[in-house]
Amino acid sequence: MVTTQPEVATAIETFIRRQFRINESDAGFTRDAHLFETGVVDSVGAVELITFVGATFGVELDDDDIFSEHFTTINGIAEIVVACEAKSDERSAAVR
Amino acid sequence: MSVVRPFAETDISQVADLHRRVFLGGAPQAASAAQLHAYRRYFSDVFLNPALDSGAVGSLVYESRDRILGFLGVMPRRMRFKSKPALMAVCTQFAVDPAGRGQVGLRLLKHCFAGPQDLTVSDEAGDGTRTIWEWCGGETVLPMSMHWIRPLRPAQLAMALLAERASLPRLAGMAASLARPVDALLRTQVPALRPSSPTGSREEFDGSTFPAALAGIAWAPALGPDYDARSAAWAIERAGTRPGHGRVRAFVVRGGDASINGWFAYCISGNRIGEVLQVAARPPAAGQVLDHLLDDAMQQRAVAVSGRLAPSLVAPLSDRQALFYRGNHWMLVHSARPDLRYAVQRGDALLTRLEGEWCLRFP
Repeated sequence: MVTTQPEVATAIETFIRRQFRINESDAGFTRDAHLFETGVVDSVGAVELITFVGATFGVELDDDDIFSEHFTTINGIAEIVVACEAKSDERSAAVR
Repeated sequence: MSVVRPFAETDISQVADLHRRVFLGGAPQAASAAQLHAYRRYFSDVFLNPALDSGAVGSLVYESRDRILGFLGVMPRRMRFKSKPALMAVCTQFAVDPAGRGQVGLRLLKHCFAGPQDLTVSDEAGDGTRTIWEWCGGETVLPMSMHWIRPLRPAQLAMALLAERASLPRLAGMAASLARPVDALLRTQVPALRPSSPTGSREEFDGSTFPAALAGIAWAPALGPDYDARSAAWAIERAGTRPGHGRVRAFVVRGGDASINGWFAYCISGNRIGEVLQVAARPPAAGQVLDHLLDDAMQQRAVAVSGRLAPSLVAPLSDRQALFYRGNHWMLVHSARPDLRYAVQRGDALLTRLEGEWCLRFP
């Protein structure tokens, strides 16, 4: 699967806006806003977000990814997903 | 830099503030001196009590930039699994600062699961904790998440439940005077509502005699508590401090030959419902032990008896007209050992409110 970072970020943003009922006019909600410190996503929401990312992009996130500083913003999560996909593609190529 | 580390006495004021904000809807300003004193007593007695310290398993805090954003109360409990010692961690008072939610709760629980205990449980967990728990690798014990209630005075029980609803206390007050005669009539007209007269005998026991009873039984389930006099006395004393509940009534039940057939412990709530902390019984004698429990509760003028379901009691409870329902709490378990998880899931465990979070509530 080849996905660009903006595509991933768009999918995550759409999910978060729908799941956590973010108002379209909320100017404070950006792709670089801290999802947890701003109170957008709580612990249960974090599980839902991790599950969504895994199911949508077919990546397996490990604890280092999930508990990293990157995994706190939409853009950061998109970076992690793209990096995981790239690693997965490299592994597949090596097997072939 | 953020870390998960053991909870220490110096954390009490920060954790008290956190707890107050999360569970008691407290204002953001610091706790009053009286509140802080109550918290200090609670944390010292429950989570920092050296007499209960396992040395390896304890409560955790999540700290970021010198600020505590999360707390997970962990109480070690000595257990026996297939006659060998096993260490259980009971998780409770899971609190995460609203300003730091998200990863904090997940990290705290994952850290706890990675500890040296054989088994981790939470038996008064809400839906949110269940979601996090399962994501972290734990599982829900559905049979033990069920509850039962055996009405003793149905009309008065209905009034007690009505009175709990804020919108209906007046109606309950008006109908209360009718409830007693209705119950008296029901007892004569519906014999099934009357608990059976118990056979054998019962005698009150306390923390000092409890471990001897537990150690002397040959019919113990695969997993059960391993109390000594001190830890048993502590659990029974703590259970009796729960606000709105009376003292713990604990009885050992003997058969005709004076051998121990089981025991029960319960306390009566403010609305006169007997809340069962523990029922243990030699399998063929479970009905006899329940009969003694219902008989004692009847004598104490309880309107009903209620408890968390132990799978081994389903049939005798059902035979005694108990009703089963799903309460507000989940029983959750985590263990790296499949045999331990299996024992809990199939009900081959004496894992009751007395070992669980009931005794760990903040007063």
